[in-house]
Amino acid sequence: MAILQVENLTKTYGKGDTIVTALDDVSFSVEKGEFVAIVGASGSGKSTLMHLIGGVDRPDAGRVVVDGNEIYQSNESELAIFRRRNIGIVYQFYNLIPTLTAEENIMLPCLLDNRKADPAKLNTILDTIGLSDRAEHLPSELSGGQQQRVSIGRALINDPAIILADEPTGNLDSKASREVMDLLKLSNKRYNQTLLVITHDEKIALEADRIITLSDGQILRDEAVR
Amino acid sequence: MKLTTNLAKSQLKTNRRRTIWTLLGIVLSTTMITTVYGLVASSFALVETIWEGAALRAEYEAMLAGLGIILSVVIIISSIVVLSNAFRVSAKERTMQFGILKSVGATKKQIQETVVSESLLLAAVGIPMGIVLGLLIQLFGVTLINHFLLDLFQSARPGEDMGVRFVLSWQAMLLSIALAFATVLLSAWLPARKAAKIPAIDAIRSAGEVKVKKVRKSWLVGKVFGVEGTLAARSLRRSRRNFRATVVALSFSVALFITLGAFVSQMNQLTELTFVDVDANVVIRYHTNMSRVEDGAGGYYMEYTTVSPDLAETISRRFEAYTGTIPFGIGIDGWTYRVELPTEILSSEALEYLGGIGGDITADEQWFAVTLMTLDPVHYAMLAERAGVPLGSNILINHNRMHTPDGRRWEFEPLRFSGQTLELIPYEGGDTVRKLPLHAAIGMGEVPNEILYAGIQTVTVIVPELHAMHYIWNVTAEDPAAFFDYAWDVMTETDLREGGNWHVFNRQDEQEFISALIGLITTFVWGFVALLTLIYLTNIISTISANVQSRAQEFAVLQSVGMTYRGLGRMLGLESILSSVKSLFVGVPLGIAGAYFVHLAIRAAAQFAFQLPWGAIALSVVAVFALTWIVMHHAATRLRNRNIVDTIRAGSGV
Repeated sequence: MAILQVENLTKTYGKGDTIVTALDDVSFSVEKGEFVAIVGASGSGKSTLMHLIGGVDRPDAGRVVVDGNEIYQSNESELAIFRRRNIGIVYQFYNLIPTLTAEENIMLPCLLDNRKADPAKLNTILDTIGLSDRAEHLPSELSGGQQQRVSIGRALINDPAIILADEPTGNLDSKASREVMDLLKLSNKRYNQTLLVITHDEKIALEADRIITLSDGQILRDEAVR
Repeated sequence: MKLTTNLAKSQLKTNRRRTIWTLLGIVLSTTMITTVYGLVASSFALVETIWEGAALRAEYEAMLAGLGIILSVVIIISSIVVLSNAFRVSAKERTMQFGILKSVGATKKQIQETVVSESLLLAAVGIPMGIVLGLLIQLFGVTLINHFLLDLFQSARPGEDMGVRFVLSWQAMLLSIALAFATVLLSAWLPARKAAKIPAIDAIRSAGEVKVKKVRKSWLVGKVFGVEGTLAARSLRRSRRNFRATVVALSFSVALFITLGAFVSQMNQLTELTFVDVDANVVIRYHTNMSRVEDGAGGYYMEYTTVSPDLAETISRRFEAYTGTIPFGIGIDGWTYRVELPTEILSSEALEYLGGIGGDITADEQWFAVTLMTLDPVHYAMLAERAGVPLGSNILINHNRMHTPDGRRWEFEPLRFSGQTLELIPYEGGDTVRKLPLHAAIGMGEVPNEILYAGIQTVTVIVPELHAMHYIWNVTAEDPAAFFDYAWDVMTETDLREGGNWHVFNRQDEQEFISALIGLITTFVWGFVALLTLIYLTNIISTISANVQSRAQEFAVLQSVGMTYRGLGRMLGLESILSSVKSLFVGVPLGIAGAYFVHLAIRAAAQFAFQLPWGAIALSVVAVFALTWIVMHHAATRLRNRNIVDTIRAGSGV
């Protein structure tokens, strides 16, 4: 069964003459454990698609079904709860909470759920992202690559249905980029984690199982890699 | 236009809301300074009319000037706290801009200039507005004073032009402008200097990034309030400076509110306490001439002329002729004689009192000043009858009244009377001892109030005849105002051979005057508090909203990882509660201390107990919580309309 179904998704910005159609009747589905890269020029609608799947924006038309739940039928609070339990988001600029330590940032989706994170799970994640010795550090005390690994940890903590990564390596040097991609792929292989990565980078796209190319808000190509 | 001015202008336009609050702060400070100095100028004019050429005039003027200085210092300090914070926030917002400017070659001085220009632009608009508003308030205040007090002024000094005038004093105005300008400039210069010091590279790099020093884990807050509580506590600690400004402003307003609340309630208490419980509605007091005579041995005594019984009688008759009632006349001679009494004849209360003021109650004998009083013949006869002794007897008033340090009124019978004879020793020296046999004593409950209010001491004796140092006539008149004029005429016409001075008091007018005066003072005090609180309010609102706005991105991230809107509200609510608690912790004790100082000052006039101003405390607690909550909530509501995605992107600099 598909873990993600996107059906006839349409989103426009602006009004009248300045109207921009960011997504135009886009449909596709993703199976559990798939690693999908979404590529396209800037303005092609990648980020809009990503935000609609992540439940931080609302579409003008169409449906998004995650793990059997049609997410845009929920109200604002339900959507927030959906995000914390089912979606792991990784941003280009990490977006960690500056007052929380690395460990607390990772646990944040759990804490918001009024749950304590499973210590074994937390340790596994800290281990996997290679920051066991920096758990108590604040974001400002970590390098860009380390901060991005923390944000991947935050995305992983709740075993989400989907991890969405928006240009996760866009702000990193090549070594840190490599580490971050390895980490994402590891989660995909080891935990059968469904992964959607938006990227400009052809090399990164080629590591995916499947590449969806967007252009002017429509799917130009949808092809399996190798 | 210079580049720095241009940058300042664009900054003012960018953050319109804060610009308006800052401008309002400048207008209000200027208004208050102008009002204070304007009223001082008006009071100077009044003092000039009342004490024309009098020696006291300089003292009153000094007192008024002092009051003006104290008030303006409070205003200026408050304004600097508030305004410098506004400019600091504005400078901080532009850290990155300053970094870029520096990297293309701007000097420290030019960076400072941008911030200071911002203040100059605001001052150029705000100060004139403040001056105008201040003059209007001054005009309103003068009108208010005249409305309440003019009648009373005129009855006190008939025929004189006694109103308070609206004075347009250019000195006061120049002083106000200079002080307001200096305040604004200093407020901008302090943060400007700091902003200019940051090295270019740090400024560029640190923009948007928050430096957190050390995380102290507060598990208690986390346990009780959940992750929202942890986030709230952390962010308070992180932006300590931002919150400190809010906390300082809140604490100051709370402290001021409590202090002045206590002042007003103590003023009211004071009026109640000084209320004199006698029937007479017009009181005439006559004091003879007194002069200080050195005794040649380093000490001195008072030499005075006296009111003869004949003179007192003559005046009483004339009052009686007008009103048809007999005035209660009392002649008093205190401090002429003293007496040494065996300790054993003192009552236990008298001993307690003596011990309380540091007397040695183990000694065998105690010294007391003696107060001699004489009454008009009719009231003397009544008192003698009450005491059960014939006319011509000396009657001991065995009743003392005082206020304990904690403000209780304390009345007791000081002596154990057994027909003693007092040996009066004159203060002025010499060996002439006058023997004063006591024929009777009247104790508590039997002494007319007129006597009690005339100034009783431990040893007070009514004698049949006395050359008094001063004399009091308590008159009950049907028409007090008419009798007031009549008494005035009588005292003017009477040939007071010995000189001295006299006063006629219309007690009804007096009460009205006092309550009007207190009403007026209360109005001004609350006006002052209200304006000052308004200045603080501009700061509190702008800081809290700036704080919330600057964290918009952080909030959006929290939402994107699944914090609900309600959770966000809860976090902001907790932040407001925590900062309220903090400011109350500072403000309430400060206010109580202030209230106590007010109490000490008022206690110099009359003794009464210090009471904690619970009403003002409760009101300020409620107000602080309500205020911070409303402001945070309002700021958060504005965030709600923002798109999470846009906010995150904007914050990332994309």
